[in-house]
Amino acid sequence: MKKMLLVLLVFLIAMSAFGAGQGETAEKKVVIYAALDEKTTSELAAAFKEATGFTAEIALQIEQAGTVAARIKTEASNPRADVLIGGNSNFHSDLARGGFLQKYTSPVIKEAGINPNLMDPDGYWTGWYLGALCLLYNEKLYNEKIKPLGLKPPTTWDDLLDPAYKGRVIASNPATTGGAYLMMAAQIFRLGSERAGFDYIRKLHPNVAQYTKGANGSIPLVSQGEAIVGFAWGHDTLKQKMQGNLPIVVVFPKDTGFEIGGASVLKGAPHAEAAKKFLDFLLSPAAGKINARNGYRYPVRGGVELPAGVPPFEQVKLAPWDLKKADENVDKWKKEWASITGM
Amino acid sequence: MKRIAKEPFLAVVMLFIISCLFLFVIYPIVRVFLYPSGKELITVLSHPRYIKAIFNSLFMVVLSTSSSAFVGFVFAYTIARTDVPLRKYFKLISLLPLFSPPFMVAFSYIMMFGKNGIITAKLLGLSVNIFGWHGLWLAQTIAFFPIAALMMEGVLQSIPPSLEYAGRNLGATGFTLFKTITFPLARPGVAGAALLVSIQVLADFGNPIMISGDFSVVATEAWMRIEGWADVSGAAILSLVLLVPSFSIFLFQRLWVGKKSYVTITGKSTQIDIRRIGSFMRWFLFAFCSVFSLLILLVYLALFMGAFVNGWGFDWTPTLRYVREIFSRSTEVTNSLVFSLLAGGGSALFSMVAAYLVSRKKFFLRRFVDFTCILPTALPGIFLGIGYSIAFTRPPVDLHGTAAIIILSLMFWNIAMGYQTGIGAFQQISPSFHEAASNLGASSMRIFKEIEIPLIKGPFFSAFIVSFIRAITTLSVIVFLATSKNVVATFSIMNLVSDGFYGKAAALTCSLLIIAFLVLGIAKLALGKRFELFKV
Repeated sequence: MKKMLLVLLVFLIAMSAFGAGQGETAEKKVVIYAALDEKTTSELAAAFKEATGFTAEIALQIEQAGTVAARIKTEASNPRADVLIGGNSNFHSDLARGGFLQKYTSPVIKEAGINPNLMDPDGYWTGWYLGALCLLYNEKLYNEKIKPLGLKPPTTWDDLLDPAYKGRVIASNPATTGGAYLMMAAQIFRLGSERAGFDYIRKLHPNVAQYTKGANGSIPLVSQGEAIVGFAWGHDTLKQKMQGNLPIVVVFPKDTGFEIGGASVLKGAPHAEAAKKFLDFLLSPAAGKINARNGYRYPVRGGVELPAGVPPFEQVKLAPWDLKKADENVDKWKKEWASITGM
Repeated sequence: MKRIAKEPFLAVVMLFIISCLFLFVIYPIVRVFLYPSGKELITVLSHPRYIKAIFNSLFMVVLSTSSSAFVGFVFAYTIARTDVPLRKYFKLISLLPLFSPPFMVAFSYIMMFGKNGIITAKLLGLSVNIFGWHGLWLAQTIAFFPIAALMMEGVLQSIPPSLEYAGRNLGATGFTLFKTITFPLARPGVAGAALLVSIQVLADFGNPIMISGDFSVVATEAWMRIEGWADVSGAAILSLVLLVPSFSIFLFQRLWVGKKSYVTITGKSTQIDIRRIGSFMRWFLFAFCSVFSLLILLVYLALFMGAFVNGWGFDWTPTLRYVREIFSRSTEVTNSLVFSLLAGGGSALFSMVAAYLVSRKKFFLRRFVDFTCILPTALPGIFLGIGYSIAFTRPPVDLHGTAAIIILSLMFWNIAMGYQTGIGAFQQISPSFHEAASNLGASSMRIFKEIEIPLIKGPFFSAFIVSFIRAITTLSVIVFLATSKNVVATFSIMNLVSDGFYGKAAALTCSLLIIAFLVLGIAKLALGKRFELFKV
C-alpha cells in the first residue's frame, strides 16, 4: 500500500513539475493562436522572425476557427495568446462583442491604400485576406451522368437548380457552422432580398443530398463520388485539389459570396506591442504571398503574386455584401432556413 | 472511525483520494455547469433543432444498444461456451473496434459502403446512401458490441459449468438449457453491459460526425456549437442535456442491476466439458460471428489501404509517402504514447486504491467516492475538456499547455472502467482472508500488500490497458487542452482531416492502432493467463 501510494504521489508531483517552470518573461516574442493550415502558419511565423527579429510562437493551430475562438473564451481569465489569426470576420466580431479583444487599427492600411471596408468598422479586427465561394464538381460523374443529358458543366448558382442534379448536390448547414451561414447569406445578398434568397434555397432543397455539418464538407464527398456537385470556400477547395490531386473542377460563379479573413489582438495579451507588430506584418506583401501560395487566399493588399490555377481576384465577381446585416440577422435567417429545409 | 485514527496512513490515503476527486472530477464539472447563463439555457432548450437531436440521440441509444448487446452476447456466448471453430480468432478480431480514433474509422465505412464504395458499388453494383441513422446504426453496432462482448464473456465464464452439466444430466438439451439456465444466470451481467454501452452510445461523437448525414444527435450538435460557432455556452448546455439520460442510465444500473448479481466466483473454475451444442446452432453461431468479423476486417482493411494509396476513393495507385510522413510527426506519436501510458497507469492505480477503500473500509464520504469514480463515464469527452480548460488554465492550478493537463484529464476521464473492475475484483476476494489477517494483528497496509495486491494484479492490468486504449484514441477530451507544446496524435489527425490530407490522417491513425496493439501484445506476453480485459 505504501509503495503504491508513494508511486501515486511521485506521479502527481512529477506532473505538477511538468506544469511549473512556465513563467513567461517580457522577451521579444508574440504568441499566436491560428485558425489556418499548418504550413501557412509556420511560414508566417518564420517570415515574421526574419522581418522583425521577434519570435513568433505558434501555441495553437487548428483549421476550425470556432474551436480556436472557443479556447480563447474558456481561457479568457488568464490569456496566453496575443493574436488570433485566421477565421472569418464573424468569429472576430463575436469575440469583440464578448469583450475578448482589444482595438487596433494598423497604420499599414492607410499607407498601403488597402480598402478600409475590409476592416472592422468598430476597430477590433483587421481584415487581411479574402476568400470567395466556389462551385466544385466531380469531373467523371459529370461526364457519366450529366453530360449525356446535354447540360453544360455547372458555372452559375442557377445551374444547381436543374432537376438533373436531384439528390446530387452537397450543401452545408448554417445551423452547425458559421461558414455555412455566410454561404446562405451569400444567396440573399446576391439576389438582392431575403425573399429571393430564401426562394433560391427552397428551390435548391430537393436537389440537396446532404447538408454537411462543416462548411467545406462537400470537398471530400464530391471527390469520392458521393454526389456530383457542391459548393465550398474556393481557397480551401483549390488547396485541397492541388495537394491531393482531387478529381474535381473548381468554378467561381459570377456574383458569388465571400468571407473576410480576420486577425485581432486579444484583450490582456501578454505581448500586446508585439501582437500589433504582427498584425502590421500580416498586411505586408511578404505575408500576403505566403498566405496566397499555401492557402490560396487572396491578400487584401493588391499586387501580390498568386499561385498558378488561382483566378485573379479582379476576375471573381462578388455579390454586394453587407457583413453587418449578416451578423445582425443570424437567428432570424437560421430560423427561416430551418423552416424551409426542415433541418 | 476508531480504526482510522489508529492508522494515520490510511487516513492520509483517504484524504488524498477524496481531494483528488473533488479537484479533478467535481470542480471542472461545476465550472462547466456555471458557464452558461439561465437565459442561454432556455434559448437552447427551446430550439426545435436541439429537441429533435435529443429524440434522435434517444432513438440511437435504443437501437444501437440493443444491437450491440445482441451481437455482443452472441460473440461472448460463442467464445466462452461453445466449441465453434475459429472462436479464438473471432475474439481477436472483435478487439479491433476498441481502437477507433476519431474520423478515420467512420470514414472507411464510406469507402466500403458509400455510393462509390468498394463493396456496395464496385462489388455489388448497388447505389447505397450510407449517410443517415442506418449508417450510424451499423457503425455504432460495430464500434460498441466488443465492449459488450468482453463484459459478457466475463459474466458467462463465471457461471459454474456444473450447473449446465447438472441440467444436461437431467435431460435438458440445447436451447432449453440455454433458456432455463445459462441466460437467466447471465441476465444481470448482460443488462449491466448493455447499460454501459448505452452511455457510450450517447456520448459518441466520432461516428455520427462523419456518417450521420442530416440526422443530428446531441453529441455532434454540442461539438459543432464549438467548431462552427465558437459557442462555449451552447456546447456546455447540450453536454448537460446529454448528462440527463446518461445519468439516469447510470443510476438505474447502480440501483437495480448492480445489486442483482447472482454470479458467485469461487476463483476455481471447474473443468467440465461444456462445449457441446447442436450442430445447427453451432453453424449458425459460426456464420453469425464470421459475418461480423468480416465486416470489421473490411473496415480496418479500408483504413490501412487509405494509408497506402494515393487518393482514397479515386486514385488507387499505391504509395508510401503518407507512411513516411508519420516520421515527421514522431513528436505527436511519442506524446500520445507517453501521455496515454501515464494516464492509463495513473488511472488504474488511482481506481484500484479507491476501489479498495470503498469495498473494504467504512468511512465518511464513502458513497461520494463510489459515485464520483463512476461519474466520468457518463461525461461526454468535450464536457470534461471544456471543464479542464476553464478550471486549470489559471492560478492556483495553472497547467496550460502542459503534459500534466492532458494526462490528468485522460486519467480521470477513465477511472470508471478501472474502478468497476476493481470493485468486482475485491468482491471476489473473500473478506474472510482479510478478517483473519486483521484478527491476527496485521495492519491494513500489510493486508493490502500481502493479500490483496497479489490477487488484483490481473484486474489492475486490465484497467490499465482499457484506460490506455481509450486515452490514446480520444480526441474530444484533449481538443480543448492541446497546444503545440503538448500536442497528441489524435489532435493532428483532426487537423489533417480538416486540411484534406486523408492519406496522412489514415497513416497516422494506423500507426496509433499498431502502437495500441503492441502494448496489448506486450501486456499479454508479460501476464499470460492473468491478463483479462473487462472481466467484471
